[in-house]
Amino acid sequence: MSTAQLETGNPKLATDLKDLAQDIVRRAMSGGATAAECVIREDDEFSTLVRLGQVETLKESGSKAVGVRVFYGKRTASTYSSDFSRAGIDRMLSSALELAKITSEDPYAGIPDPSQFGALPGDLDLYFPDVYSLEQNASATRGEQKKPHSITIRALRIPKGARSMLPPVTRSSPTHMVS
Amino acid sequence: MDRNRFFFQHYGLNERDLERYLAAALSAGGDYADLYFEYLSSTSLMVDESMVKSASQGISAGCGVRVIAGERTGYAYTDDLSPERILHAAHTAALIASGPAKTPTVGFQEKPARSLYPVTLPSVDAEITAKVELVMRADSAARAYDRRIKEVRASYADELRHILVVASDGTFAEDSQPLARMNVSCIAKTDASSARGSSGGGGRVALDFFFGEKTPEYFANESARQAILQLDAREAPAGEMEVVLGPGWPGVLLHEAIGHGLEADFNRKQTSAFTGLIGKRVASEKCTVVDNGTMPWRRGSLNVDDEGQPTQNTMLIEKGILKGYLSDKLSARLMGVADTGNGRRESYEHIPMPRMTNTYMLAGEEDPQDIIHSVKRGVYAVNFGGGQVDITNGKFVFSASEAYLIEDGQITAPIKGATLIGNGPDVLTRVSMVGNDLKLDEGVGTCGKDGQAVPVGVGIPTIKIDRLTVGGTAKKDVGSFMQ
Repeated sequence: MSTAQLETGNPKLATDLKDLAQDIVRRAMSGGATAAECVIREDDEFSTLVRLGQVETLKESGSKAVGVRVFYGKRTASTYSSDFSRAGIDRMLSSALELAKITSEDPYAGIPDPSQFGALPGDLDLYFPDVYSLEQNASATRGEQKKPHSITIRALRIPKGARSMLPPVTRSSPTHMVS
Repeated sequence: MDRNRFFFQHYGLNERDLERYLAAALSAGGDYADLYFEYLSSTSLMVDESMVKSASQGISAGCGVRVIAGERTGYAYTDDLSPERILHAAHTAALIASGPAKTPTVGFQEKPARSLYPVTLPSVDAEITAKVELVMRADSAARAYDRRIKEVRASYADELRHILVVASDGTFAEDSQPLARMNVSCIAKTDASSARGSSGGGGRVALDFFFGEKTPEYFANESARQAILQLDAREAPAGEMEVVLGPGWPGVLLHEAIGHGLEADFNRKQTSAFTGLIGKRVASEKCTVVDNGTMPWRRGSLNVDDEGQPTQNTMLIEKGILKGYLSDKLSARLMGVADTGNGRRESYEHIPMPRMTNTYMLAGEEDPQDIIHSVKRGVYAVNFGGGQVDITNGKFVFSASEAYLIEDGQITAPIKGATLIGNGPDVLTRVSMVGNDLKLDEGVGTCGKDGQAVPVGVGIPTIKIDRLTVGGTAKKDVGSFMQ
């Protein structure tokens, strides 16, 4: 059984990840698992921080991770990896199968029957392909006089707006912390 | 010297590659560039209802590339350590700068390696069955403590982090950082009430630490003791009163109320309540506070920080006078001060910033008993749950998870629901007694800043604060409302 959930604007990537997830579940099952579940995540990140009207940090990256949860009857274990090589995935799978043997039987362990899944009436329209197109825009962000990235423009507006609306606020520190 | 060269061995990297990546990072100019390679493996186990309910292992690896131009930082990372992807990340981080290419320093320099946590077998590579034994023992010890202990949850987690940092200034530093921790939480129940207790600890230690120094039974008994104690706790009084902090983990108040405000980035941006106060009195003369990243085996310790700089023992407040800030490379350069080796990050996905390591107040001369005896009516707080601070004004709030009333110099009843409310720059000026019993916490602290979590240590001797606001839950009456 596979419960890989994919939300991406790239159909080719979605197909590749789905194939990989299904392959991992198949291999877990042939390794002796009575049930298995695979989740693959691929993130693209862009963030910029503007302080006192200047771009202070610009961050851009992509990362991915794969995780598997296996069941031996009522025993379960999970492993994850950022290494998508054949060897990396082999190791992730064998560790999960090994680890599941040392856990206790839990009468409530298991994955839900597909008939219990909820269903969405349609596409929730949560994906906006135009948000992530950094390459050309980021180069424009280098000098503020050029046309900045749309996200950067919005960020630039916030502190300025805050300053004009609240005259006592002359500096902003984007921080929250707990211990 | 025996250097482990983890990334050279496992990813086929060499110094020429590293120079090429740094050159790409500085291809559009900038003052400085660095590469941070990380390989993290981790294990975790949890026992709930006397069953090993979950077990998990994982590996995550990647490389982050940073370019600094003036006050600006460009950052990109990849979890694929192939030359193409690292070069791509380097060119992306370079987008922050706009000028002619700079040339990195030729030839790397490696400082002498330290060894603050020389484990022979990292716990992450130890037998999983031994870790299962630890959590099962914790579970049965907590249940055996008292019949009223009804729920027990015991967990164990460890990790081993390999890092390599190289920079355009010639920095080359490697480290292997083990970290292990146990935690036991209990719920005690009677017909009338229920209460929770929690205890844990560890450090940059091997698995044998939990079979010798601090056993599962030790944490289980402590957790169960707290839960049982809280069953009969009275409502906390409210108002301003004398407060005595017990030794160890209550040092978290120091971390939040003082430590964060002394991180150089907040002072460089002039957003800290301590901005511009170097050389000024910020505490009573009994208070001396340091941040020390060089303590063997400690959770907050590091041989080198995440910018490759060796950690140190930094004087923050000496006999009440503010002496210095905690800095990373960026703040040190922009402020013209020394780098104290406090540049830390959660992982390769994050930009380093000034962070604490082990932050504590040095021992004083008073006998802890004398401190308690000196209090007419007040609160003795020995354990805290969470806490937080607003850096710009220094205001903090903490909730005490174990606290007692002090009446006429004697510890009387346990109280529940007490919160301590105060102001960072103000609180240490009211410290009138400092005990001779400095203790560091058991190794449980995780500090969050800008969404990045890093392990830290805190510590404090028994101290007396002459006046602090206690937010209690008891209804007002003349006896419990002190002015």
